[in-house]
Amino acid sequence: MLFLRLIIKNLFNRKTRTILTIVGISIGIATIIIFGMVSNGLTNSMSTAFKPGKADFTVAKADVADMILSVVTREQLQTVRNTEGVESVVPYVMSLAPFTGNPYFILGGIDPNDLDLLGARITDGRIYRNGDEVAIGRIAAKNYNLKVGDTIVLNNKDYAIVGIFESGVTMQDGGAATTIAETQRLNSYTDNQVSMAMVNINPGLDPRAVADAVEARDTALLCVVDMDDFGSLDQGLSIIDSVSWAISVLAMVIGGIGVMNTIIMSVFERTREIGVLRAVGWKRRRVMAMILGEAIVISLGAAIIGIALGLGVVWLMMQTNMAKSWLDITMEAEIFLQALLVAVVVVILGALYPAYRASRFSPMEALRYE
Amino acid sequence: MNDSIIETHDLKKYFEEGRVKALDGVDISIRRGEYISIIGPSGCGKSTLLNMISALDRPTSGQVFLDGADLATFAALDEVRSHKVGFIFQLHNLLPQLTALENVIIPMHEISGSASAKEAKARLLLELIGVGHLAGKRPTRMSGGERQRVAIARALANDPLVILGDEPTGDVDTKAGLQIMDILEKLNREKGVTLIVVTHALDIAKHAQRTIEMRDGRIVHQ
Repeated sequence: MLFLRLIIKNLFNRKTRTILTIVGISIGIATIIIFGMVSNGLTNSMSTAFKPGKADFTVAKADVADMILSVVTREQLQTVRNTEGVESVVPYVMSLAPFTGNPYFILGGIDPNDLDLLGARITDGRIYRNGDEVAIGRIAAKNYNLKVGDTIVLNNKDYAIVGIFESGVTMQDGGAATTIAETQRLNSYTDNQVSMAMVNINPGLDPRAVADAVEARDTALLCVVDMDDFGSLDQGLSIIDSVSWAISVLAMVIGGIGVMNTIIMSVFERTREIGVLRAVGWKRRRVMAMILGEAIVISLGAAIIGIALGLGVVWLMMQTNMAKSWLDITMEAEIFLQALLVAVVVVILGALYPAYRASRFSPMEALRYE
Repeated sequence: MNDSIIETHDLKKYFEEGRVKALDGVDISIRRGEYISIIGPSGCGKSTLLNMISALDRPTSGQVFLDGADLATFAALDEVRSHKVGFIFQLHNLLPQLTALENVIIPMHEISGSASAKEAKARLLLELIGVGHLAGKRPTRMSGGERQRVAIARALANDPLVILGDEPTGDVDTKAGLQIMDILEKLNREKGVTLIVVTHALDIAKHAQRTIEMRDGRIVHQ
């Protein structure tokens, strides 16, 4: 307790420097939190999107850079249907229709009779019957304050909102749904083309085995059974993941160098003090523990501020309709522990050298230091 | 070692590759409970001798025994500094960010015991030295004499066998200097602590039971 009090007093003796160091590290931690939560939010959102309702996996075109570019034909879907173990195939057209500042508002094309299979249910109003009608998702209704009876303008066309649906899939609930024919028109598809299809297999079978069989029958198709497969279909998520890691690592490296600089300065300024501590009998390891202790207190302070800052930024981000429609943000302890661990490790690494230097001071030399 | 607490044999300390001979063959013997003053002109080696005795530095050659241990070869000098000697510097060397009480506790970090027991002991020492009322004050808000008294309390923290003062009155006025020497002499007299004081001031040196005079790194009188 006395030792901790000393550590805290040492830090508060140089308030401005300590606060600036904490701010520097906390920005790094906030970066990890923000990118981690956004990346996880996207992953959560995508992982449910590709296995909605009773679907076991999604089938799309292989070798596309982005899932929005996926186009499969009804003949290909027939091949899927004919694959052993496949029970049902639900065609889906994914169309993007900019809406109220959200360029990624999804207008999904799906046969009204297939909604059940995708786990979607109408919570208000009714299902659409033609291409002039849409059902909007629960999240979109809430975000844009829309209700049954309203009109929504997408791609310069008025659509009557006839129902509100809920599927439990953030991406779908954040958008709207209409007929396949209407979305085919919007995407300039022929009536033979759809974006992808959700596949339901016979009970007791392994989705991976059936997916492999589908891919074997048509190598131009890719089955998304899990998020690893999604990486092959859409590199966006893996790019976001990589970039977020790169930025986080960079932020922490800069933070670590900042800590090293701060502690080195602090150690040299306190050379005489350290000499006094050694002169009154402090062991080298206690001097080292004091310096490392100061670093740990800095990292814990930075972790608290960084986590709060990160959560604040994510909260602000989640006030935008686009984020609400696309991100399924969850509080996962893993991200916070990761941020805390990175902060402590980086700060300790940064403090290790100056702490070692301080512990090697000879009391006589340190006492002579001016 | 008989009754000696400190003995040196042909103690030498050279600096700058032997060009400066701070100690050049010093032999002294100090008994337990003795009060010794070391005098001599500036640069004669007084402080260097004190640094050797207090385990702050190692000699170039020779032996320095403290309570039977040869400090020239003893590995754990920090143990010696922590448990056997209390050092009072000319400049108090208190940590400015800490209160008087916390400064006195500093050497106790290396000994076992509860925080409350250490605090109680530090308060007691401050009371003993007559600065109990300064326990919560920082050194920057004290006079030179008060700071030096707190430094004495810190030197006593771990019940040392020997108290070493390197010009302990050198940075305070005459009145405060006399008060500080009164405290140190009282500790020597009543607690039997061996006291070794390096000083320029002959009126302070004359209070000691024995005076060691140095010149050019050698003992000229003891």
